[in-house]
Amino acid sequence: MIFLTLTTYSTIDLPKIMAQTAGRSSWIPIMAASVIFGGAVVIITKLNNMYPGKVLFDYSQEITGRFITYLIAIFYLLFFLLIGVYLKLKLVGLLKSNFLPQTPQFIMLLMGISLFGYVAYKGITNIARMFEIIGILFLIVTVGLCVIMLYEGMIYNILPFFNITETKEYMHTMKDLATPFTGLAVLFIIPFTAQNKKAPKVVFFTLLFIGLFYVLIVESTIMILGINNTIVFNDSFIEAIKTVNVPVIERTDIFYLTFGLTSLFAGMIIMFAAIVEVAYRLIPKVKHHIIVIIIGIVFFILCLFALKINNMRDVFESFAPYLVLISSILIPMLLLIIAQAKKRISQKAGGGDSNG
Amino acid sequence: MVKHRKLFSVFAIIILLTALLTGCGDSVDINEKLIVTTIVFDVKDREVWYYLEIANIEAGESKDVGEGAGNKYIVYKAHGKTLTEARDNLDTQLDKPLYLSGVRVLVFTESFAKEYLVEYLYRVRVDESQRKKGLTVITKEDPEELYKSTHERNISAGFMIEGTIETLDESGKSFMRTTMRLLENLSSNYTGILIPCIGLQDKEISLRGYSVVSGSTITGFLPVEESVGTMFFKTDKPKFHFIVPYNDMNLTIEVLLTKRKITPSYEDGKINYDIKMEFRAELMYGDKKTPYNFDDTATREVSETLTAMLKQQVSDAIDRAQKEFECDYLQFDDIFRIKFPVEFQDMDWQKEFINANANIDVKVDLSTKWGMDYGANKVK
Repeated sequence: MIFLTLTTYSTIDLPKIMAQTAGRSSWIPIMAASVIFGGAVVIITKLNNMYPGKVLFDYSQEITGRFITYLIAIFYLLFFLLIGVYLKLKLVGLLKSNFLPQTPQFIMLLMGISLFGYVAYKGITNIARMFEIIGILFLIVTVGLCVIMLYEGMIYNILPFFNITETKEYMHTMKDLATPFTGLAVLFIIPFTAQNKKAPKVVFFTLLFIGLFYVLIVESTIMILGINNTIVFNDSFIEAIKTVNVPVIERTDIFYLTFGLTSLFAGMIIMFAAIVEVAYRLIPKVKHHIIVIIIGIVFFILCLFALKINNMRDVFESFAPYLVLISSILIPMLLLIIAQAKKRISQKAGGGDSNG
Repeated sequence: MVKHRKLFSVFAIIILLTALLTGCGDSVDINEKLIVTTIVFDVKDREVWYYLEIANIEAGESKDVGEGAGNKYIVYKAHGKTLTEARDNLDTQLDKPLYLSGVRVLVFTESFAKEYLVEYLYRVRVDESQRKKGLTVITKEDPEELYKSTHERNISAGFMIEGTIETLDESGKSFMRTTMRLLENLSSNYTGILIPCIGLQDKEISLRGYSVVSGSTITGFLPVEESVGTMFFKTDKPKFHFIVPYNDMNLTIEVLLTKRKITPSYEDGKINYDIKMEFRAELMYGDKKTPYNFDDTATREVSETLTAMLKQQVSDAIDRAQKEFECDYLQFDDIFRIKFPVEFQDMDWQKEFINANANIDVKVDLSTKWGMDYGANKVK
């Protein structure tokens, strides 16, 4: 469910990004990316499983030592901050264009950050519980609308499913797909209990499911809008929802956004919680609420700066794939390799315990 | 310390609550907006004319006995040399902001569509508040007459047009296309579309035919009475009545298309379509007194005549698109693209379409209307 709320941001412009690169064959790179990222989360959950009850910051000290752990933690802190700022601006943009055109953006930032900070302060367990409800609601509404879109849309808009000339764009598309899978690294802030032995399998299938979810969104949007309209609209999924005819509900977009926004908020909260969690590990002596306030202020200032950047999205998307690659694949993989190696060495030495 | 913390909390709450108030600027009551139901465009004397039909929500409440007090719909009009100028002139008359999320229909006169179809529809696309699941239709009538015919009866022209097309679509006699779908067609490499053309028949709004859009402008007109064959391609479940001569009488038969399969092939640079259509036909009545003695032989004979008629309709529809209008509004391009995506990319479809060949195969399953028996040959 945590992943699900983090997908909300991507759902809105994913069809556009996909349509302009891989066109009607988009489902292939999406599924390929979900398998690759599925592999990445398996690594993360394996690491978490090797050290039950601990999070990245704790066990990486055992694996790599203090100095590198601090470097990794600072990297994740900055990474989460960047994503947080990006998501927050997207949220403000969405609110401004659909609901509150005249409200100053910095007020929306202030309100949002205060709220997210407060919820994040309450701790990760409470947030996870809340996601159970929000995630399910969001899933039901989105899938429901997509099914109606499939029913009302034109099948020829998405055919043929495979076009050989579009395959050369796949690599480019895979790069674009990094952003929709940005949220995976938040798994590092969730401590696993000893019962989570099945977790790697579960998360892998969850990622495949998210891949299918993305495919459904992209295909249904293209079906109802057509491929050229999907490319022209930045918020193509919202435009597609607006075009759907649902009995009783005339403004389907507002209906979706009511649930979508809840999910967007939830996604924002988890990012904020991740930042707080990492910062707390870095400076454990400072009180929790002081950290939340400091991060809130830093976050607010960063957002204000980012507001001034006109092509924020392009800037973010130009470097996001590399950050995602490092945070979700490279670091976990290196940590796992080192951890496994250490475990073997200690086992050979005969003195190692099962936790490495 | 505790004292300071309380002070801090109070201070924070006051700031946040004050900040919340800024959102009030965005609260606009729907009553404070002009709800647009229909937009009509015309070009007269080289000027763009803009006609807006506004739902007069105060009509019921008003106690004034003045001109227009009881009208449910009010028309605003403005003109200018360009689209933007016409709109700017219109804005100078408005006492409240426009609400465009309730627009049912966009109506373009033929002269307007010939010049501004793409420009205006792209303007619609860019305006996120404008409803794009509404219809777009063409008319040859004077917009003022259209409004007059409906407003005399206190009916919205937009709702009336939408209702008419929707009813025809449901009964299988025409089709509905949203403005969004039109936009998709106008954004493709090749554009060939039919847009319903409405007009007045004895002062009543009715479907008069279809305007043919090729590229970005209107190039022809297909009258509704000559469009049956075309509807076999354009409508989901087309249903029409045919009068079939048999012996010395005329039989009225209801025909429903049950299956349509179009398979393209591409050999030696030649495009060919195999078109298979299956119809369910039901004999309803004849123009002579019963008994009809409608037995197996009669069924076979009538089926053959009807099959030939239907085949002719389909063949004529393709011929007209290829030869008269030279425009692929039958969507043969999509059918070909799906099967041959690579070959399609480099094609000039305008040229390819008019030379494409079509093999038509029509099957008819004829029976008597359920509940009726025309086989009996005795009258008592």
